[in-house]
Amino acid sequence: MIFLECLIPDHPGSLIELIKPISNNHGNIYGILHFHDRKKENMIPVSVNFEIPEELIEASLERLKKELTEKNIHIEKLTMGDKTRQDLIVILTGHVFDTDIVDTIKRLAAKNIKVPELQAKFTEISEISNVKLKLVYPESMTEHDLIQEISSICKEKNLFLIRT
Amino acid sequence: MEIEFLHGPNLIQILLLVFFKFFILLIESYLNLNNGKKKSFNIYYKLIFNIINYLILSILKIQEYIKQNELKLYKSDFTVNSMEIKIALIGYGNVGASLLKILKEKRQLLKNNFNMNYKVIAIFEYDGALIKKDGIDIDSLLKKGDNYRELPFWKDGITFTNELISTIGINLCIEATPTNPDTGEPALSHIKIALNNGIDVVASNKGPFYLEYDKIKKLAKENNSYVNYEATVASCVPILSLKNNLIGNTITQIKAILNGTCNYILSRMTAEGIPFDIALKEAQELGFAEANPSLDIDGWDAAGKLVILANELLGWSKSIKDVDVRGISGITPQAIELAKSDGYVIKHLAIAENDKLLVEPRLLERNSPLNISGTLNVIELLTDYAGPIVLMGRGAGGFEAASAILNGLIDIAKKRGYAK
Repeated sequence: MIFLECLIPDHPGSLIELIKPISNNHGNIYGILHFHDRKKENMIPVSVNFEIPEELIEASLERLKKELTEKNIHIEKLTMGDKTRQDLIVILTGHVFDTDIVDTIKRLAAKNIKVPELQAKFTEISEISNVKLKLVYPESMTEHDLIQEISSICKEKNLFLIRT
Repeated sequence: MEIEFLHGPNLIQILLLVFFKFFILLIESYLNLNNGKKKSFNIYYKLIFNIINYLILSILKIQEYIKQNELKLYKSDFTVNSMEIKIALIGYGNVGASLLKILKEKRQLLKNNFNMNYKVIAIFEYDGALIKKDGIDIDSLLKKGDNYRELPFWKDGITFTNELISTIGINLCIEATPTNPDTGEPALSHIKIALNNGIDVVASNKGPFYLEYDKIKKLAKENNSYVNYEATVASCVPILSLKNNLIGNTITQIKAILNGTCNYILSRMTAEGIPFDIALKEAQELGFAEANPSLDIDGWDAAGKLVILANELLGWSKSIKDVDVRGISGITPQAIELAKSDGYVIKHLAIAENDKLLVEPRLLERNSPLNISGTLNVIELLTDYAGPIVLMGRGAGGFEAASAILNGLIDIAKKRGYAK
């Protein structure tokens, strides 16, 4: 997994400008996160997780960096992730948005647990919501540790957790 | 009890000898009759004396024969013709009544296939008991339906006590009362009383076993009694006895769906997209859920069964307090939809692994063998060499539980030599 963090202007079409070069260079995008709360001088931090076939990584990343620079997109960080274990899917039910889902994701990220996919379903905004998260965690972490982390957040935010 | 000596010729020889001597004496007496009345009186006297003499001799010879051959009441020395199981049934509800129906229907089959005879001596209910020492006529009892208390041998206020069972001469107790989940009573006391009196037990009531599994097993061992509780987990699915067929393997993990009510509700929510409350109401209307369904939907029923499975199959020593339990009432149709979109279903799983017991909703791959619908139960055992082994079947119902009890009854009868 490759983790790209960069700053893009807060105007329509800028995200497309970011993800097009990734796609053009064989990148398979797993997830995109916007950090609107960290917006500075009309620039928003964005995190993109993607994979490139191993034999193409070196050349593709070089081209990607060049293309992004040409588009005036500032790369803050470009790292190869730890070797990852199996993914784990969880569904959270409750007031997932009211209890700040971004905070939930950030707290997981702080423990090196990535959320490359997110899907939500709810009836009304005031009602409880259901959010499915795909979690990717490093080889150094056990599944038990991962569940401890997410369970502790769910307990604090009174969310009902269903896992694979 | 009728016995038949296998080594008959020796006894026949003895009896032939007695009859031969008796015959000779008869001839002698006949020949001497013509010599006068006085003499014939003496000869008759001699005849009677000789017969008694030979009878005593015969008895002594038989006793000597028995001593020499160390005759014991084992199958190797005797053929058991009609040793009877004398049953006390505790709890005449759906399971108890179903068992009596099966026993009645299978009486001849039990006799033919297992040379097994039984009598139901007593049937206990919460407010009294039917007791008949020469056996209750099951046919008449079943015809009475719910009016069985009108039978002349019904006794109000009688309970299953130490004092009573020593007088009614039973050798097997079937415990089928409803479970009090917190105390296991009254079943726990019934089982202890039976075992303390050396009476074998077949139970369908899981409460005592998830609360005091070790104590019950110890008590049975101390009193040389057998206790069979196959019916307590997944009803008619023979999961506990499967252990005997896996003795070359080590079972490392158990994953199961052990509550038909929860599985029915989740199956309906998945199939129709209906909310939990509607699915529960539907289950109640169809008789799949109790009026107070909390034991089922909160996961405690499955937790109790999981404890028994783990203790029996994994050799653990857990009680229901050791289980982390979460129910299904928090599951929404939207969560089920999200699961579906990735090829998953939500199931209420009971899991024993890594010394931990869990009952909780889990995402299960749609093509998993554990993905069963309706009120069925399923158990997957992971073994070290045989890999996964899956058993599925009806986990509830009167006849289903009764059939498991009958299996237990035959098993104990065989061990005791009441059946072959």
